[in-house]
Amino acid sequence: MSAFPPPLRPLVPALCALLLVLSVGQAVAQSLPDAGGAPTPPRVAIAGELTATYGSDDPGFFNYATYAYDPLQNVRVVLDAAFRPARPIELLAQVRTDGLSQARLTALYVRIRPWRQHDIDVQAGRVPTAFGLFGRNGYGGDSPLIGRPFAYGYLLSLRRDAAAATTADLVRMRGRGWLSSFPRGNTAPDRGLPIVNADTWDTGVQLRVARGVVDWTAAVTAGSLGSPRFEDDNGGRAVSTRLVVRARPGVALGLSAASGAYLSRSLDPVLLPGESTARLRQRAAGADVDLASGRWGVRAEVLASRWQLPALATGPLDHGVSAVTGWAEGRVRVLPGIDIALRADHVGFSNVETPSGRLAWEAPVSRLEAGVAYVPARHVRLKAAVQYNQRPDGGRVRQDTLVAVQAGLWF
Amino acid sequence: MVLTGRRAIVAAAALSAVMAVAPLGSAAQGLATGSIRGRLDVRRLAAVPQPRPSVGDLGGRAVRGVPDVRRGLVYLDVAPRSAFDDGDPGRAVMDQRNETFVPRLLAIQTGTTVDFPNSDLTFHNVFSLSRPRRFDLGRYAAGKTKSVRFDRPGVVRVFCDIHSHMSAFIVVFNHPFFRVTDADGRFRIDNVPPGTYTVVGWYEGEARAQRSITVTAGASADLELVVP
Repeated sequence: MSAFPPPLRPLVPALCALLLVLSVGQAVAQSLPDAGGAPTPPRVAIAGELTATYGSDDPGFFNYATYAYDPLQNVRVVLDAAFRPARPIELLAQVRTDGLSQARLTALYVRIRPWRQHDIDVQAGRVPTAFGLFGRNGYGGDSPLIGRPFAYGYLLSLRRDAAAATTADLVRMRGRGWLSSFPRGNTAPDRGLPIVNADTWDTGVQLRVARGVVDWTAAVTAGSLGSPRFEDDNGGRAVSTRLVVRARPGVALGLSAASGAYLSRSLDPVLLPGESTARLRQRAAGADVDLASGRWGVRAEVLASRWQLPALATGPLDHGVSAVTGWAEGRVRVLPGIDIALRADHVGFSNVETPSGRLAWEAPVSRLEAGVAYVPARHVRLKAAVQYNQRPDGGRVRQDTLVAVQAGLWF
Repeated sequence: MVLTGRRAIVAAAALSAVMAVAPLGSAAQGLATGSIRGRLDVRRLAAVPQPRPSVGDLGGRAVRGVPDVRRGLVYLDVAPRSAFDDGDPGRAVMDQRNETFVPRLLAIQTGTTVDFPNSDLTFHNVFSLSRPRRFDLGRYAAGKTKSVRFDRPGVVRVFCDIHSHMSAFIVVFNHPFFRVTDADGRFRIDNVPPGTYTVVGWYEGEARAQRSITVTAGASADLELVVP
C-alpha cells in the first residue's frame, strides 16, 4: 500500500495548512448572494469523517484488503477537500489515515467541466475508479454493514511481483492471499491482489458524459483494477469504462468493463522469451443494479475477472485463471435513524489441471453479513454487524463468525 | 452559522416551557387588538450550507439552489391566554427544489400538516431526529408529496438523508403570535391583544435578541431587534 508518492511528501504539510487557511478564509467570506443573482461557488470546501471500529480478530483474513491494518479493529480518518480556483476547474483531494499511522493521499485530481450547459467532465490525476458499484467509497456511510464485498478488497493469492511455476504452486496458495508466495520473481511472502482495489485509486485521465438517463465514463490509467498505481510499472495502460442507465429515479443499472496490465516489470527477467508483463492483463466485466424506494434499498452486482498468467513449466494456461463473484444487499429503515441490512456474497474460481486432479485455482469464499445502524444525531452513526465467512477449500481458517461495532462522526 | 443539534433541542425545550407559563397580556377575548411591526436586523448572516466535496464522484454535480439564510423569526415569548382558545392550523408546504428546502425556515402552529413535495428529478429522503417530531419519509421521486403533522411545539431540524447539504428549520408554536421575516428582516404581527410582551428574535436555531414592548388597542407598536 503506497503512502504519499515520494515527490509529493514534502508538500503534504504545506498542502494541509493551505487548505485549512483557505477554508477559514472562506468561512469568513461566505455571504448570501443578492436575491436573484447567481450563487458564487465556494472557493474551498472541506469535509471529514472519523470512524472507529472494534471487532473480532480475523485470523482467516476474510476482511483484510491490506496487511497494514485490520479493518475490524481500526480507526480511520478521512479528509476531503475541494478547491475551485475558477468556475470550470476544481481541484479535489482526499487524505486518509488508518490506525492513526501514516497519512496517505488517496485522491488528488483536477476536474474540468468545459461547457457549463453540458454534463461533461474531464478528470485527471489520481481519480476514482470508474469500474463497478462499490469502489468509489462514497457508499460506506450509506450502508449499515461494516464489511465490504469480497470483490473490492479480499486478497487473492495472485501477486503482481511473483508468479507460479506450476499449477500446483497456484493450488498450494489457495486461501492464502494475505501472505502468498511463488517461486518466480519476488519469492518473499507478501499480500496478493484483490479483484478490484477500493482502497487505492488509479492514476490517469477520465472522461464522463451524462445526457438524459445515460451516464458514461471512460478512463485510461497507469495500473490495473487490482493494482492501482501512481506511476506505471510495466509499460501497459489500463482502460476502464462504466455505463449507468437511470431508467427512473431509484432505478440505476450499470455495466462496467476494464482491462489492464497487472504484473510488475520486475517479473520480466523470469518470463519466457516473447512474454512481457505489458501484455499480461487482468480483464474484468460486471453488471450491477441499485434500486431504492421508500424505506427499502437493494444493491446487487455480478462481475467476472480473468488474469493472463506467465507460461508455466507445464505449458501456458491459454485462458489464464478467472474468478466470478456476486453479491446482493438489502437494507430497510425500520424507524427514523435505524437501518438494518443483509448482504450475501460469494466468489468462485476457475479450475486448473494439477497432479492431484482438476481443482479450483483459488479457494471459493462466501459470506453472509447482517448489520444495524443507528443515527442518534445528524453527524453520528453507530453500527453493529455480524458476518459468517466460509472458505472450505483453503486457508488455515476455513470458517469464522466475526462481529464488529463501529462509531462514525462526519462533518 | 450552523445550528448544532443540542442547541436546537435546548431552543425547543425553552419554547415549550415559556409557552406553558401563564400569560401576561390581556386575556379578554373580543377586545380591540393592536399589532407589532418592525425589523429583525441580522448583522452577520449565517454561512450558506455547502455540499461536501464530491471526491468520490465521476464528475461534477448539477447546479443547486441557494438556501435563503436571510430570514429570521419573531415571536411573543409568552402569548396571551386567548391565543390557545382556538385555531385552524391547516397545512403548509416545504418544497424540495434544486437540492434545497424551500423555504428554509417555516413557522407553524401545532396541529399543522406540512407537505414535502419533491420538485427535483432525483430522489429525496426527508427526515428529522428532533425530539418534538421524529420522522423519516423514505425515498420518493419527483412529483410525489409526503406529509407530516406537527403536534408538539419546538424546533424541528429537517434534513435529506441523500443530500447532506440540505437542511431546514420548522418551528412549531402553540399560539399564532409569530412571523417569519421577509428578506430584509421586516415583520408584522397582527391581532395582538393589548398588553406588555417580550418579543424574541430568533435566527438560525437560536433566540438571539429580545425586547419588551407594550401593545395598545388600535395601534401599531414599532420594534427593532438586532442580532449582532
